[in-house]
Amino acid sequence: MKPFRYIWDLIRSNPANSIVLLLLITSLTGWIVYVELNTDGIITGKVVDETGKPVPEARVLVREKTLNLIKPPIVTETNQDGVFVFKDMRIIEFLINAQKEGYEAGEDIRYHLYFKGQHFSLPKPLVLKKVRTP
Amino acid sequence: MNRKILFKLIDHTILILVSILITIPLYWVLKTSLTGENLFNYPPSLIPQDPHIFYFVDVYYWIPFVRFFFNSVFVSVIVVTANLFFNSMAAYALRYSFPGKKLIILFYLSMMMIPFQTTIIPAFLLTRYMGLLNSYLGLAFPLSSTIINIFVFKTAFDAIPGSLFDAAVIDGMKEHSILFRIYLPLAKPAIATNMILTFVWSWNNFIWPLIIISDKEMQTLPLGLSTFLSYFENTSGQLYAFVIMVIAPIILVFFMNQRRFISGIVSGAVKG
Repeated sequence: MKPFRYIWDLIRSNPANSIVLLLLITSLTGWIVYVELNTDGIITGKVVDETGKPVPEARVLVREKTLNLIKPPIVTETNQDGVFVFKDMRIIEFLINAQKEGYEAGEDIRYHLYFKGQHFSLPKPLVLKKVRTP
Repeated sequence: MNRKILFKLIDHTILILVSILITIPLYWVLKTSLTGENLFNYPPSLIPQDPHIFYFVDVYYWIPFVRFFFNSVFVSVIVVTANLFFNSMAAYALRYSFPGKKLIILFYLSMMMIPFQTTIIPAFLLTRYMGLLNSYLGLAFPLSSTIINIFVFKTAFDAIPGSLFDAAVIDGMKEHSILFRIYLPLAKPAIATNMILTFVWSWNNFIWPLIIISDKEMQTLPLGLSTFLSYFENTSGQLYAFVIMVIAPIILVFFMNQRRFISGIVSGAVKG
């Protein structure tokens, strides 16, 4: 029981210690719960054209970014609503873009996650511009 | 205005200014760890722009931070425990009067003047001879007893009235019981000082782990920090995030024990 007594002494000797300990325990517990609830490894988003209409059957490429290199892409396609889903993605930083014939190549957008396997929905849809023929 | 208040005001202004000066580098490290801003940016911005914690996430995932952290904590626990045990026993022995006591104290004091760098090679050979290279015990070995902390205990024990010792002896207590059940509970500030000082030394120890550790899994945080330098430029946010992660536990330990720590240091300063 000595560790508990030591912690109790710490709290008694300075009330600010109890606040620090409480903050530490709360934030750690909160973080662990948040991670447990959001660790399905799903990355999801939408591909739209310039007018905001969904683009079906567009190829979406995700490339994991490590400290020194960018890994080969993982590819999926959008459904009829322009929605794409990547499953079991254990990455923390990645580049994403969309491609489709008849559209200009999309730009790479970089995202960073807080932990590996984080459930992540792209905050903004990927926009594809139609190729303009002269 | 009262003269006394004026002096107090000047005192506090100087103290606040010095505190700010001391805190600025730490603040800058924290700011860089949150923004990744280049240190040489001109004009420098005092307030962090777009702070985020992704550099900390990178450190957590790209190096075995948890392993390094565990190694540092484990070695520090061994060092702190060994110091409390050995130093308190040495200081307890020094409270007796015996022939050559002054010579031993003089010997201790002279040993304090020898820098660790000069004893590295014998310490390494001794550690290798004992088969402790690449081990936690080997990492803790040179710090398992420190002379300055023996004196911290000695001053604390000297302040305990001799009548307590006499009463314990009359009651038939053995030496180890007198030390662990009477002297140590009465020397809490000295224990706190020992714990904090040895924890800080062990936590920051760089040269010794660098010499005896060749296995990456056994590296401690300061050693990991130096390895980290080879991955990144010295201006990157990840490096500073790592620095914050290394020093945060030590700052926390200090702040939670600061009253005891300071009282321990002060008691050591005024008693002879």
